Amino acid sequence: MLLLKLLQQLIKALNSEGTPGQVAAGIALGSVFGLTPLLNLHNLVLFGVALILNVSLAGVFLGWTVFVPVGFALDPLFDAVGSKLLLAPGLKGLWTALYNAPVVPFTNFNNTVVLGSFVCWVVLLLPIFFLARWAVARYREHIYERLRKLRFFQAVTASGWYSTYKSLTGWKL
Amino acid sequence: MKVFRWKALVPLGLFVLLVVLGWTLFIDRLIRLGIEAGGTAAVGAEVDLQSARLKLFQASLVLKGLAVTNPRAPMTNLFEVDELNLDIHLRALLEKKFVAETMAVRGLRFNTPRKTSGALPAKSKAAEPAAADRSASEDWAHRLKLPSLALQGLGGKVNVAGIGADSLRSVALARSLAARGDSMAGAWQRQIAAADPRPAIDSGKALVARLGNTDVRRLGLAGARDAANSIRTTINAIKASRDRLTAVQKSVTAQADSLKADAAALDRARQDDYAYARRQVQIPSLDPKDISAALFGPAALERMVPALSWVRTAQRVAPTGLAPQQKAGPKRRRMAGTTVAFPKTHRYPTVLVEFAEGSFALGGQTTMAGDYLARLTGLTTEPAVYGKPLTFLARRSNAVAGPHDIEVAGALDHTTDVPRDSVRADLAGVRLPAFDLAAAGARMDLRTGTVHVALSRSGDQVAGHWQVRSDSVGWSRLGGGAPPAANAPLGSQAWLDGLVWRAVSSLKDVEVDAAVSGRLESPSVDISSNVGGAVANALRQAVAGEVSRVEAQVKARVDSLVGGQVDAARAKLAALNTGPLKTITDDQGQLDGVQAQLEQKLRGLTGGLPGIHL
Repeated sequence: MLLLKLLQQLIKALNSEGTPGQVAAGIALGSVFGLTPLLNLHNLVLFGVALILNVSLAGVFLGWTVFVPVGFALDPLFDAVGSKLLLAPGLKGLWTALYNAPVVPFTNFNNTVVLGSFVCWVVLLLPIFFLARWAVARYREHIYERLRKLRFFQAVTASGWYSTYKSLTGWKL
Repeated sequence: MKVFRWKALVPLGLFVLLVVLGWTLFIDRLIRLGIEAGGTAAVGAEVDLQSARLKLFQASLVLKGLAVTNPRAPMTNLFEVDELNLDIHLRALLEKKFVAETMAVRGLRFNTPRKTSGALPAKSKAAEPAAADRSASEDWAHRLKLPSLALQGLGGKVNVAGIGADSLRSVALARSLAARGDSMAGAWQRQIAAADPRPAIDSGKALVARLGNTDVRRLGLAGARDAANSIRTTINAIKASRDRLTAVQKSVTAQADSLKADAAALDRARQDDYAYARRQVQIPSLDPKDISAALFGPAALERMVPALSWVRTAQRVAPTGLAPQQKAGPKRRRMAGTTVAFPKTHRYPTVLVEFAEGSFALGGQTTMAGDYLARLTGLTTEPAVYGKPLTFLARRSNAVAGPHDIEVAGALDHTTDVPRDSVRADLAGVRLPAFDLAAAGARMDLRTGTVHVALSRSGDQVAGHWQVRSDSVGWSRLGGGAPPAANAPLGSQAWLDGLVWRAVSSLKDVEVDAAVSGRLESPSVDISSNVGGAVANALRQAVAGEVSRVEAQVKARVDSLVGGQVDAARAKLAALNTGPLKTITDDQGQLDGVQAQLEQKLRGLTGGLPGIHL
C-alpha cells in the first residue's frame, strides 16, 4: 500500500501541470524535510516558503518522501559535518552569536545532525534541482508515452485515490 | 509564470494556526517531559512531574507534584514538592532559555517513600553521568584501607612466615627503583657518550703543546693571526662541548632528584608494610586514631561517599567557564547527534532560577519536627554566564520539641575556572542515629546530640568534617547477648569483645570527628574519637607487652624480606648519583683547564704585537 502511494506520488508529481523547473524546485525544497530532522523551526519556515512559491507541491512531497531514507542513511555523515562546523574554533563567535540571538536557537542549529544535514542540503540544493529538472524533462519526453501503455501503470493511475486527486485538480493525462 | 502562489496564503495561515493550536495544546506536556528528562539526566534517577502549566500572558509557570528520586535509594525521594510557582522571563524564552526571577515552593518534603522504584535501567544513557559520579566516589572508598581491630594474633605463636615478599610495597618499590636506575644509567651513559668532551679537550691540549713557548715575534703577523684564530676556534669548540655537557648534567641531576624523591618513599612504604604485616597476623595498632578509624570508619565513609559524589555532580551540572558545552542530542528516531551550548557573558544562561523561597514543615513530635524556611539564589546551569554563585539556606524557625538550632547553608561558586563549593550544616539537640560498631560487637545509641557537617572544595582540593557529639550515649550488645566473660582466651574475638565492651560501655559522652582532605580524586580520611582513645587505653593496659613482642617479630620478618632489596636499590641509586655526575664534573674541570691555558696563550699572542689587533 505504501509502495503504491509512493508510486502514485511519483506519477502525480512527474505528470503534474507544472513545468519541469517547478517540479524540480519542489523536489529540491521538499528534500530538506527528508534530509534534516523534521521538527525544527527551519522546516516550518521552508514549508511556508514551499507553499508561497509557485513550485510543484507534489514535487515537494515527492522530494520529502524520496529523501527520508537518504537522510537516515547519511546521519553519521551529517553528524561528522555538524561536529566539524560547531567545534571549529574560527566559527565559535558566529555560533555564540546565533545561540544567544532570539528565535534562532529554535532551529536547533547547535545540534550536529541538524546543522550537518542542513548544510549538506544547502550544498546539494542546486545539484538536486538541476538533476531533477533534467530527469523530469527526460521522463516526460521519452518515458511517459511508453509507460502509459503499460497495464501496471494504468492500474496504478486507475486507483481510487488517484482518481480523486485528478477530479480535484482537474488534471488530465 | 508567477513566482508566488498568493492563494496559498490562506492555507498557510491555517497551517500556522494549526501549529499555534498544537503548541498551545502540547506545550505543557512538552515542558513536563523536558523537566523530567533534564532532571533525570542531572540526578541519574527518575524525576517525576505531575503537571506543568505555562501561562504566557501572566509570564508564569506552575509545576505540580515534583518528585526527585534519591539515586542511592530508589524507593525514596530526595525531596517532593507539591507546587512550584515561577515568574518567568518571556524574552529569555525567545532565546530558548528558561529564566525564572522568583520561584515559590509549597509543600516541600524530604525522604518521602515512593510507590515504584525510581531507578533507571542499568543501560540507560541518562543514568551514565550520575552513575559515574557515584562510582568514582565509591571506588575511592573501596581503595581506602581502614585499619581493623583484630587481635587474633595475640596470645599464641605468631606465624610470620605467612608474610610474603611479593605482597610488600617496599619490595615492589625497590625493584621498580632498581630497574629505573638501570634504565637511567644506560640512558645517561649514552647521553654522556654523545656529549663526549674528549675530542675538544685533546685538540685544546694539542694546540697548547704545539704553541709551547713560541715567541710571537718569530711567528710573524700572518703566523700570529693564524695561531690566534686556531685558539679562538678551539675555545669555541670547548665552550660548545661544555654547553652540551651542562645540558646533560641538568637532565641527569633532575632525573637523579626524582629518583631521590622516590627513594624517600621507600621509608614510607616500609611503614605501610609494617601496618600490612600487623594486619596479616591480626594485631592492631594501639594508636587511638587507628582504633577510631576501625570503629567509625565505615559509618564515616557512608556519609562521605554521597557528599563527594554530589560535589562531582555539581561540577557536571553547573560547569565552570564559558567553553562550549556538549551533551547528547534529543532522543528521536534519527541519530541524536550532539548538542553544543555556546554560553556568553551578559546573556541569559540556559536555565536560571534567580531566587527561590519556600517554607516547609516536618510533622510529628520528634526533635526534627518543626517549621522550616528555605531560600536559594542563583540556581543555574551556566554559572559563568550568570556571574554569581549559587547560595542556599535552610533554617528551622519553630521547633515542636527539643532545642533546636538547625541550619544548613552553602554556596557553589562556579563563576570562575576554579570551582569553590562549601556546605555547612549545624544541628543541635537533634535525635542522632545509633551506630553498629561491628569491630567492637557493640551498638552505640547517640540519642540526642549535635552534628556539625562541613564540606568545602576549591579546585581539585576538598576538605570536610563530620562531627558528632552526645552526652547521653546508650550502649548495647550487638545481637543482644550478654557481654563476654573476662577470662576468654587472650586474642580471641570473645576476649576482644569483652575488653572493648568494658572500655566503652561506661562512656556517656562521645565525640566523633571524621575529617576528609586532599585531592577530590583520592582524599585522605582522618578519624578521631574518645571511644577510640578509651579502647586504645584498655588495649595498652591489657596487651601492650604482648603487642610489642608480636610487633617486634613482624618488624623483623618485614625487615628480613625487604632489607636486601631496599639496600640494593639504595646502593644502586647512590652509585648513580656519584658515577655519571662525577664523570661530568671531571670532564668539565678538564675543559675549564684547557680553556684557561688557551686563553692565556691568546693573551700572550695579542700582547706580543703592540698596537696590532689579531
